[in-house]
Amino acid sequence: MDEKSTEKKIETYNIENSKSQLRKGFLEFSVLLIIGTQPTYAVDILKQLKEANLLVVEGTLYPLLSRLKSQGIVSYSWEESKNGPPRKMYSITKDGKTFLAVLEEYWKSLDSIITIFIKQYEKSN
Amino acid sequence: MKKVTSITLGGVVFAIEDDAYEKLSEYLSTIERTFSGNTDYHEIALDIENAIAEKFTQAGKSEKHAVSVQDVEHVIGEMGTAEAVASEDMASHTKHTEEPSKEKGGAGATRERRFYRDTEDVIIAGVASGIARYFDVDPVIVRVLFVISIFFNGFGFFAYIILWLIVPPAVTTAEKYAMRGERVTIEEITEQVKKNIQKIDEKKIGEATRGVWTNIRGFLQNIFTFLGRFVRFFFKIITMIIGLGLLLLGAFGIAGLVSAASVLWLGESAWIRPEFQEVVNVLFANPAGYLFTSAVLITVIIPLLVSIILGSSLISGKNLFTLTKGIILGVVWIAAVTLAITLGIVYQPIRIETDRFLADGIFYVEQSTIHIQGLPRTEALH
Repeated sequence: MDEKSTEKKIETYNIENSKSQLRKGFLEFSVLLIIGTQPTYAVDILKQLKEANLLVVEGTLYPLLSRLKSQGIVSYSWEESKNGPPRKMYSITKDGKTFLAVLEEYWKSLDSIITIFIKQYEKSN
Repeated sequence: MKKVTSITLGGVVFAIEDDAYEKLSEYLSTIERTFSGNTDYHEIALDIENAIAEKFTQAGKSEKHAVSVQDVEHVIGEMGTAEAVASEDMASHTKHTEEPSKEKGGAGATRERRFYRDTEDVIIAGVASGIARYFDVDPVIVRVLFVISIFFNGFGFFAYIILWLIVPPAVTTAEKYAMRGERVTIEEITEQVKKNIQKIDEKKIGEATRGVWTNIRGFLQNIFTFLGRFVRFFFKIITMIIGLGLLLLGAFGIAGLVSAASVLWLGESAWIRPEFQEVVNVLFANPAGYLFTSAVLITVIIPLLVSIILGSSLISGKNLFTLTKGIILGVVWIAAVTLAITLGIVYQPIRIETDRFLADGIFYVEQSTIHIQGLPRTEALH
């Protein structure tokens, strides 16, 4: 009885862990796609990511944005906000666009391979 | 009923309940420490601070609507604990987070706790509460020690005054953080463990002694608040008296000097005693005499003006000295002194007359007469 429940716990823990690994892999790419579409506030990036279930804790976004900025992939400008502190409006840089193009290319190839794997797997079952 | 402090987050002012403040400031400092391996850790911490400010604003929190512990917990839940934030970000940050211990130690030094006067817990000037913050003890205990040490040759009194003058008050948010900041420890883990043990200890001791200590503490706190009010009132009265004295000294001094000078300049003989008349005549025989008396007048009036400004500053409780005022007064004063001295040396009649009167023993005009050796004395010049 006891052993079984601990086993189950480990299982759910592992699933959560794997999911979070996958999310981490997608996060940077997703953020770049959102910013690349149009200049966006951090709050609105968070909103979209949360709706897509790609983000659990909001705090994660800020180190990521800071790193992308220092790598010259995104840049930001300060915008006054009517109620509350000024906000950073993030937009993608020229370098960022080339960077994103490479990622997109790679994602598409990954996607087709994963789709093939999934199809193979589903056929076998 | 809860005590409320005001803080700025991302430049916006919020009222926040004290327990909520503790929680939030601990959260923010752990965030900062967690990212201390990152070169942009300051910016990340600021971003998170701004995001929290925005969340509070959206929740309708403001200067008037205080932030509670629940609000802080809610926000931390959405933001994620420092550990959660760091672990989620690890994929993209492996290099940074893999060797954090050394860098953390380095960056921890910048979060070193500093000694400030606590402007939020003031009896007289926040010295005792500042010490208490620094050593992590109850301010009431420090105050008791101060009062006791007064009976040892007034040691506590002088120590307090000196600390008041030397130690800066914690005014900005950064200074308040530094005042409450974590002390540097060699290893983060030991610190964390210690903290947990301390919490348990505090709980146990707290439960056992809560009743008695709360009563004593409350009683002492009341006494100190009362004493503080009394001492502050006393200081205020003293400052007022000194201020008024300076103001009157300046005002009457200037009035007296100006009327004396105008009597001299107008040469109204009816007002001047006959013994002086001769001096006055000689003095103003040359136009330089007017210049000399004016220079002397200005030399004396400027310190009196300073006394007036100082007095009114003390009375109004505002610093009425400005840089421009200081510079103008200083320059004019130095010019007047230079002029007076130069004229005093160059312009003979002043010296001669003074000399003669001093010799005659009638009276004493200028103490500062300069004798130049080798110059012929009065008779020779006449």
